[in-house]
Amino acid sequence: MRGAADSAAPPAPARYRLVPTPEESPAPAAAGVAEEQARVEPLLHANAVWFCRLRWLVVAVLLGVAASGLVPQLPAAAGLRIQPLWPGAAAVLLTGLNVVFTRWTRRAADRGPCGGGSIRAVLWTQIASDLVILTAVIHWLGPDWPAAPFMYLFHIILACLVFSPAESLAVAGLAAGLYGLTIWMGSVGWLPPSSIRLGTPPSPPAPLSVQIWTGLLPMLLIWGVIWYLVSRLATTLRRRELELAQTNRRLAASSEERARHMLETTHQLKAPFAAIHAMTQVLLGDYAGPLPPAAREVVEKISHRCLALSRQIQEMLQLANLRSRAQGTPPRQRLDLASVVREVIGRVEPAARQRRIRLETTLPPTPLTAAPDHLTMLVENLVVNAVTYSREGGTVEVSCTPGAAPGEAARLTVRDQGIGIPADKLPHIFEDYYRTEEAVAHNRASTGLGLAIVRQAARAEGATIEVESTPGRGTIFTVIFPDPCSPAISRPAFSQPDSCTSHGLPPDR
Amino acid sequence: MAYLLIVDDDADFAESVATVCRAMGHETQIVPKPGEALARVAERRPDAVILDVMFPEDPAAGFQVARDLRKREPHLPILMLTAVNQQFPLGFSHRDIDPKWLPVTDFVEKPVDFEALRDRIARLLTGSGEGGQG
Repeated sequence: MRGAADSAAPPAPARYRLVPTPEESPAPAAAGVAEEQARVEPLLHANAVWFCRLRWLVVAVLLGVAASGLVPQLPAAAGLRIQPLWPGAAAVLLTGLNVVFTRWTRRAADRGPCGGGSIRAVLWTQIASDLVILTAVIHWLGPDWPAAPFMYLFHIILACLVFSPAESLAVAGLAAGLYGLTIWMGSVGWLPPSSIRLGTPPSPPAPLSVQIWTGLLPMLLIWGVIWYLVSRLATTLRRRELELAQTNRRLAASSEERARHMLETTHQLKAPFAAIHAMTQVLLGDYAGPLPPAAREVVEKISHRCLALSRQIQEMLQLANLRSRAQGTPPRQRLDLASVVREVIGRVEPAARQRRIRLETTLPPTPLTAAPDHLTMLVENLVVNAVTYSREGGTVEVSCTPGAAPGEAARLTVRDQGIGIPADKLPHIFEDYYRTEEAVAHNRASTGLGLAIVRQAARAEGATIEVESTPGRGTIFTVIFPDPCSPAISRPAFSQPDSCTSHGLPPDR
Repeated sequence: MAYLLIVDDDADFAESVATVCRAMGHETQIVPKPGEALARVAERRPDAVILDVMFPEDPAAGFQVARDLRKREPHLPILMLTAVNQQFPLGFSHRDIDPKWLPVTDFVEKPVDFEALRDRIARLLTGSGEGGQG
């Protein structure tokens, strides 16, 4: 998996950081209404937040208009007469409402999917109160601003984007009702006429029938057309989005199924290899009579290849197990990382000794909450990797320390003096079956799956891996385990430690 | 000489294990189906059982056979042959040996190293298995 680059000048070490990310394939979503809810609720929440932010902009504009009214010369230059009371009052009211809406939105989001009803209520209340305030502002602007009622379109379009066509039509109806109500109240004298044009007193309103035919109905027609076009477009987009989500779900299920089949097939390969290996052992142990030297050599080769294939199958199964969601998250428990490292070193040391590679350890007690299997796979593959790509007579240093920084539970460092990894190859070393030509030249037997297992195990534990390597001089892998109690830590597939579990057995015991 | 019962569905593998056991001077019987293990033990109590975990009819049948055997013969030494599987991505270790869940005396990992197998069988028969069940 790793490569070397020999050069005369001492090369600078290259660094690479692998941070835990969510699984590549999306989790299958729940079906039916729950799926629709799970898909729509985050959108509604995002829109509610967006509305609140947008409202601060409107508040700023209203405050600006009110402020300009404090210096009459400013609006007068544009032929306007602005009394600060109206826009100021609207700004203050909108500010108060927006503070309430922001908190309400946050609380509805905290309730999660169950807060779907509340988030819808938040949006509706926001839109309704906005429309009331907008109606007051439009009345205050007076009949000299015929474009003012178009401001209702903002809310109608936004409603089309976030609500169903029926709900957005209701918003359009509410806007029409409020606009019609002000026209009627003005015509019967319940609302005093208003104008911000300089020098002209507010003119009395036109007769109601004139206002309806020349003002209200054309406006409603325009709103209706815009509502129809935008809601149709939004519905089409939503349908496409749903189809995409369904296709995505089918693909994820198909991928999961394929992985499961591969796992089963790989699993079935184990038994024949175990049998072949056992039979070679029978021959090599002279249990079936003494073997001629030439035959012994052949059987030894068969045995060796058989073991290599068995190891590859085991690594494929480990990787498939780590990736398979069907297995669920194994129980986590409090462990001492130092003990896990010591166990692994005990297993790897005989192979290291054969190649005169010294394993040096610095292992103070390092408490950690993790799944034992994940931790063992991670440590073992890193140490085996370091030994595999070390030169004969080299040293591999393995150390662990309790986390020093906030949100950090522990650190594991594996340092070798091996062939190193060129900078351009660092980003690929955690890929399945990735092996550089130099790595193959150094060790033909390696499968190229070891660091892929390390990546999956680290991802399952939410750990970050830092790699620093100098070609020809060696590599340092540092694994940083997060502290599950830290609120800043977000761990994919993380669950709280199961204090009742005393070992790494499946939970169905 | 001891009498060893080998419960494994793979005839070639079981025969290889039996060959080693016979070379150690023991008598062996191979039982290919997990469901037959209890009956064979009832017919003639073995000195130890060598038991595979996975069988075609049930990927975890070996666990159940171990529990059934333990109920019937609380002190019968059981040596389990393990490998990486879906429940145990690393195989399993001595910390997994448990009176209720995995009541075996010891285990050997597949692919089996026959030197290790001979050693485990010898320890099993002298009553010094690591799991402490026997």
